[in-house]
Amino acid sequence: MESIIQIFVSGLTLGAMYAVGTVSLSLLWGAVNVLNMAHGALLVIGGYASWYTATRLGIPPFLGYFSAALVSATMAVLMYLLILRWLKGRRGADVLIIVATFAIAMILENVVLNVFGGYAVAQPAKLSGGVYISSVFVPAQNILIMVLALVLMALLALILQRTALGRSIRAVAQNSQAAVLMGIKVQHTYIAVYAIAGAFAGFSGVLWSSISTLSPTMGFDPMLKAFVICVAAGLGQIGGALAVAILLGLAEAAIQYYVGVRFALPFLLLAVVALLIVRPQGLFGIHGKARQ
Amino acid sequence: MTQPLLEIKDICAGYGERDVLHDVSISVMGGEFTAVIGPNGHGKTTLMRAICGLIPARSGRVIFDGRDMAAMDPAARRVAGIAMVPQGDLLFPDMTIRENLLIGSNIEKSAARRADKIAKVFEIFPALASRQKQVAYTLSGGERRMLSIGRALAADSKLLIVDEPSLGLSPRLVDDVYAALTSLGEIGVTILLVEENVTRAQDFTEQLYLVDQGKVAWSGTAQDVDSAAGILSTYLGA
Amino acid sequence: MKKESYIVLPILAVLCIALPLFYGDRYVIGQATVALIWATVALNWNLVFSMAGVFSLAQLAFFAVGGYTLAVLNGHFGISTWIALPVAGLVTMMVGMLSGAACLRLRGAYVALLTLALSQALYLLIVTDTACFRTEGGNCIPFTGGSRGLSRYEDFGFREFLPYPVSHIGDYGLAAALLIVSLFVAILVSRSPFGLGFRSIRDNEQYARARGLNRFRFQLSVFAISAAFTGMAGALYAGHFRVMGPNVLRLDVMLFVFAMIVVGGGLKIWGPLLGAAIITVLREVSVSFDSWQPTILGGIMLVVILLAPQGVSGLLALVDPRQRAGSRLERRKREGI
Repeated sequence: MESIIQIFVSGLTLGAMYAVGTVSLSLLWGAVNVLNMAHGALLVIGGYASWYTATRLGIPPFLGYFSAALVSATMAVLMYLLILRWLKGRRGADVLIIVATFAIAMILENVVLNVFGGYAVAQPAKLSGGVYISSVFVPAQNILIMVLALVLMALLALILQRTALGRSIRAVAQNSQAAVLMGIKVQHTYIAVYAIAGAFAGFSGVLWSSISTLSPTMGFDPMLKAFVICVAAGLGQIGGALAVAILLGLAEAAIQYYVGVRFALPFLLLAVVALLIVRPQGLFGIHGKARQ
Repeated sequence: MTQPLLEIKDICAGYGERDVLHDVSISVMGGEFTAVIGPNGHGKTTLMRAICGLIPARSGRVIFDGRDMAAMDPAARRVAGIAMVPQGDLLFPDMTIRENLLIGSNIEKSAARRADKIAKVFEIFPALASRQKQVAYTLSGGERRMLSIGRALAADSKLLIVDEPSLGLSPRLVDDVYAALTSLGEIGVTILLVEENVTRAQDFTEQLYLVDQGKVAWSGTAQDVDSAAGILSTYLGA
Repeated sequence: MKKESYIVLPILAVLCIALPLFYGDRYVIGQATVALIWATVALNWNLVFSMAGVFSLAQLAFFAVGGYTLAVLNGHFGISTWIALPVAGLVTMMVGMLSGAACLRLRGAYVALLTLALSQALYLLIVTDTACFRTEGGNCIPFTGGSRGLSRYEDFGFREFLPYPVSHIGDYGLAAALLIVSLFVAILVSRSPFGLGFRSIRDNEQYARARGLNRFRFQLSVFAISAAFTGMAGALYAGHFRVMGPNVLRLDVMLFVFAMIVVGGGLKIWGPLLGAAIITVLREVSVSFDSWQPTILGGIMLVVILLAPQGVSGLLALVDPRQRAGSRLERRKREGI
């Protein structure tokens, strides 16, 4: 019984964090058709932004979540305006975008390494203490992560489903030419998508570093998980990605508990490969609509 | 003689190295129905895309409502009053009827104006009104065409471009679509129509242009069509 | 790919022979050996992109498999490195065919994500490997060597039969030979009916089917060939350095090899080789900015992607008037749509 509670607590925490990170990746893929290899770097930038404002500028640690979202969103928008914008519509654009975001990731992480050093530091935006469920200790930060993830998801759903901006984003994603004909400013919509995706990545960076540590390479593992979740759910399927994120978090916690930490990722990958061989478009992807 | 609402002067446009349109000139008078007819693949849709700004004009001018459109992107042209019902409808498939119309009215500034415009669309197409929450990709061909026209009408526009309204529909549904378009004429909408079927175009419009091999091969009023039957049949094989 | 692609072979051979004759310096030859190894990887990686049309990021996993095969066979089982080298090629070829079969079922972006994740899983499994496979002198040695890698194994033994001043030429010659053979095979592949037909496959699958071109089988053989040479390059790397660790699976190494393809340009078969030369020289020049190297490399890649998306070889090809006409057409097409 205790082990079950333990697995659920860490599984749901993982799932909540995966969900926040995955949304960023999934939104960029679904709405603007960009596979963002700099996702991990945006997480790192967010994590350090929070750390910097709290420890160096003396701003209350919990405002770190906002500075992270702000800095990562700015970075994502810059990435679009300075580089990715010029690659749209080129021959082989999808591969060029993967390579370009890859290069951007390398630069960002290298800059962070050189500026802040390679040693892992603790994330100040973090709750201490916790509660007991039966005899299992549940850290307050884990609860906060789950609550924040829920709030963020609800907020995103609200934006996408209920606001004019959200409708514009969906319109551009579904048929950008028709959207232009209806007078939607595609450039503005793209910038909004990058800003939202960046903010979610930054936020996710603070969440991740709050339960592990902050280091220039900390973004890679969450990025990999986000990729796996996106692929398993079907690229661009935001709702599906959420379900898979929770599922994956629980599965990972269970594997870690029963088999061992080092086998979690290989196991999950095997499962995803098997899934993709049966359903190449992913769990929630619509066949034939899977993008090239 | 009043100023035409839309005037295309010697436009050249196309894709890649190849010009599809060579020095095409047409004009559309406000309040009238005008048709561009001609065989498939000879530049009718390209002309419409050039008017909307989806492809740039290599030379020539597009003057709409007294303004040169050259520097305007498609979104700005929509705001200026050019509404397009594109070939194949290009609906937003995963959105509901209502959401499609909301996108159609997105250039209207106030929520009240948007609601007003959408209510007007539902008056013209009552069939859409009862199923506002239905997702677009589940609609039938005729319903999609209606929604596409409704979406174009959901914001203030001076000119409605309809590219092949009969494409892919059964004759009975085409009748319905044309009936709807005729009723639009009664409320004063100016329509520029692309149609392959000369008889339909003749019944429906005042002014016709025949575009063949990227050039205006013939133009005249609906009454002129019968006397020009010889010329038209060489191009259209009708 | 025109007939002139064969001309690249003698040019490469002459360059490879000329270098030790004019710059026999030990350091230069050592760096050149490594450059030749990476050039082989870049060449074969690009073969997967351009001939199989698959954006796989698993190439350095193949490289690692090859390297570890040699290190394990010689270190744990005492098998000669000269036997281990071709065996490494075979093993990697099989791994390549397996992963190729999985990749080819998937679409573009899925392949990139999955292959990246797979090679990362390999990295994690190696780094966390602590179970003793054997003990030597009281030291526990895991099967893969764990995070410290495998180091107690032999090289190719050139020191024994080559006299001192030229003993370091051995590995260099081996690397050069592997690259030349690999280039020859790559040209054969691209000039084969399948290779020539591949362009048409990419443009129109139905047409290619009608012509009787079996896309899957061709792509799978490209994967097999590419993996085999990459695996042997990995084995050579392992034999040359006499240490094989999980570091080759790190992202910065991947970016380093990738930069060769991007900077050199992937449209020409010799583009990645040119890229390997450029990147190697750049790295030597920028060695004093060591800690900023990823930034420099990334920056160069971005500049190349933005200004010359077909790389330096694409720029050189612009000198050819026929090609220029072609690219102008493409540019106009882009602007038009």
